[in-house]
Amino acid sequence: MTGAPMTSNEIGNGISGSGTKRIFQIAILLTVAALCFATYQALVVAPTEQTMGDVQRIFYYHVPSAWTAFLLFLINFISSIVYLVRRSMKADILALVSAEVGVVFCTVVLVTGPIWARPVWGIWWTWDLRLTLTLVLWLIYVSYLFLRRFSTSGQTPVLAAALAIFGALDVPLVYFSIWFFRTQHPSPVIGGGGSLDPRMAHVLLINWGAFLCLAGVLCWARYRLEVMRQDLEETQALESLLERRSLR
Amino acid sequence: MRSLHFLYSAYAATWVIHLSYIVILLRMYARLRKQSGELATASDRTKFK
Repeated sequence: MTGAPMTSNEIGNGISGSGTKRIFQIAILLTVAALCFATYQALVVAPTEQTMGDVQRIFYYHVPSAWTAFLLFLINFISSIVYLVRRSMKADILALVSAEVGVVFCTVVLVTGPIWARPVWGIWWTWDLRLTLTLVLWLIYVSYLFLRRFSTSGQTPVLAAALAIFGALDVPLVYFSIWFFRTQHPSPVIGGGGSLDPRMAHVLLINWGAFLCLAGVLCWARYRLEVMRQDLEETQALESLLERRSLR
Repeated sequence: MRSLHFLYSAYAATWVIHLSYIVILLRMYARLRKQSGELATASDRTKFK
């Protein structure tokens, strides 16, 4: 991190400083409330779709998770460019955090999609363009996380940033694949000629808002943990250096 | 009825994925706190020497 390494007490305070801790607890409570409200809206308030029935309600988790994953991968893309231009450690941590939380939401998309497809299409999976590109997107960001986790090279953040920039090119391909190609996946629900019941659109946006809150809280927690981890590593290195000097 | 089974499975799977990630974060936090505590103890020992 920037500046002098922190003491071990400061590292502990990095995540549990009283002011920050209080705000974080309030954010968690608000997120839980938003998620409960959104789930109630999706299961009870939203009207039942005529042809698919109740299984269509998976859409209120599947679509907002996909939008949230796309947004997080966009943040990862911008942070990676900022890191390459300015070598900012904050941008590097933000890139890592957004990719990790993005992979969690993308996993939800890849799991809920087949559960919806089985009763509606009669199959769990098909190598359709939209589905295949989403799987490729997930694999790219999983590779990114593996690179960050297991590479010991000093150039890892640079290599990861380059991979993130190429990986982000898949996001518009996934998003627009159902606009420009004939695929088995349903047409876009908002824009692109989609016609969604306004009550359904309302519940969809409430769920997206709740998932954005969840993504925000997860990114915040993970960001603080990464700062704490890097500070601890620096302090450990400094302590061992001082110990070696005192032994001489 | 079968449709509800798929609906609940999808919602449950979503929460299993999110909760698993939260558990990973909590374990990471506990590990870092432990390492931080060990570092503080080692640092105090060095000072006394």
